[in-house]
Amino acid sequence: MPEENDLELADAELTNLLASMPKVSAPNDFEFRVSARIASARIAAKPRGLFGALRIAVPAAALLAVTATVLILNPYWSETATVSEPTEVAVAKEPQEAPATVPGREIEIPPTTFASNGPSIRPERRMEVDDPLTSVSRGPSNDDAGTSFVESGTQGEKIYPRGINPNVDSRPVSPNETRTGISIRDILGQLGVSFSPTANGLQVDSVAANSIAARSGLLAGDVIESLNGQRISADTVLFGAFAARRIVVRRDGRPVGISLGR
Amino acid sequence: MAHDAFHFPTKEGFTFRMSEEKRSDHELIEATKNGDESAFTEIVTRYKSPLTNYLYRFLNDYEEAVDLAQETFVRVYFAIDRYHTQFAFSTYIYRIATNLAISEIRRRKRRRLFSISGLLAGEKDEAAEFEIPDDRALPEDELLDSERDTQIARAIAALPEKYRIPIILRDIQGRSYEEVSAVMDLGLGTTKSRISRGRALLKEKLQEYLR
Repeated sequence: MPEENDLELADAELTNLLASMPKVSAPNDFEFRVSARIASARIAAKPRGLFGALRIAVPAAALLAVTATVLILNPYWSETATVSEPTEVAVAKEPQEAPATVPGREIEIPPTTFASNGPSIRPERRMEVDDPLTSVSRGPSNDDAGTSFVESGTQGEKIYPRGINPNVDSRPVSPNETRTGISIRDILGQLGVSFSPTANGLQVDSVAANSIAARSGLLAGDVIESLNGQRISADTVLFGAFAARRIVVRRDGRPVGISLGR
Repeated sequence: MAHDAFHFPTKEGFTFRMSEEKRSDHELIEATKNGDESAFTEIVTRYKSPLTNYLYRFLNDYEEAVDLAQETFVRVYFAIDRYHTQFAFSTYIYRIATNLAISEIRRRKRRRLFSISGLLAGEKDEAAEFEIPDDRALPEDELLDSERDTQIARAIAALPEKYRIPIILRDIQGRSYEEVSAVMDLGLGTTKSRISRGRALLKEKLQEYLR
């Protein structure tokens, strides 16, 4: 019992101590500040009903419009939107030259060298076509992006700028678009041949000394009938990458095949 | 007539009702519900200082206490239609103030907590949190008359919330045990137990003033 009394006494002392703490009062303008806050809260709560709905609906509609515009105009999404038919996508990318288009599979792309008749397919000109679902934005020419493309040929190495793959002319062109190419005169000129067009073909007027044509055995008086198996005339223009390998000439009335690059 | 009163405008924008007979809290609440703003002003006037004192002892920050007391009245005003007069208004308003004060204290703690996991993380890369002790001097020291009051204020501020609230309500604000238990939404026994435990903690810290 004495312990309990002590505890109660201690509690009483403590409560007296706490009760003796000075009381703080609210400031004199307390009511005014409360009324101001209430008025402010009323104003903030006012815009309800139609205006309140518009405050939410207008920004939301604007956001939706912007998002829709971005999705429609963004070429990435436009391509993605047509990817459901992969074959069509590839055709759309290469309207003239890229026929085979099964994504992810190795396909053969015929060289785009000649404007008239399609040249033979070269085995080394194979490429992997990207799966459009995983890499839609990459065009075929991006396969070698970052490295210079080097093509060996009879005229030595051709070094192309980065990102340019001469094997693939994938630039989307309209069927009626005029494309620039290399004339047969320029090609034969680089081989060291000057010629005159005749009814039977291109007659070699002269062959430059130590030129590729001279080393390969081309002679003045030969009549060039075909280049790489394609019949050519003075008006022939070649497109894309080209490597001259074999010329067929008529010499003394007989066809003679000449391999270039010896 | 019980409400034989007259009104006069004040700079506060309210009108004070001068009456010889003091209206009860419930009467004022009912009058406020009926659009009598002077009744609400009377409620504010009646409770502003007790509430400010309660929040000041709770937070040890006079400006914050005044701000939260005002916020308490704003909330009461906008929720007055939901107030049921079967409960004591003082209990209602103290509960709102207590909830606001607890939120404020937790907000302060969040500000003071920071992670230094990059320095002292264990092998399991567990983040370690440290609470920085609040060593700031009480800004309202001038309001305390003596060193004793300062020490008492510090001892109260050091109590855990669950003991601090009932101690302030009971021993400083002078509310009944029943009111304290209603404010804290606890049983009467739990409330008394917490008050007893809080007092024991205070006695340990304030021994020199109890002899």
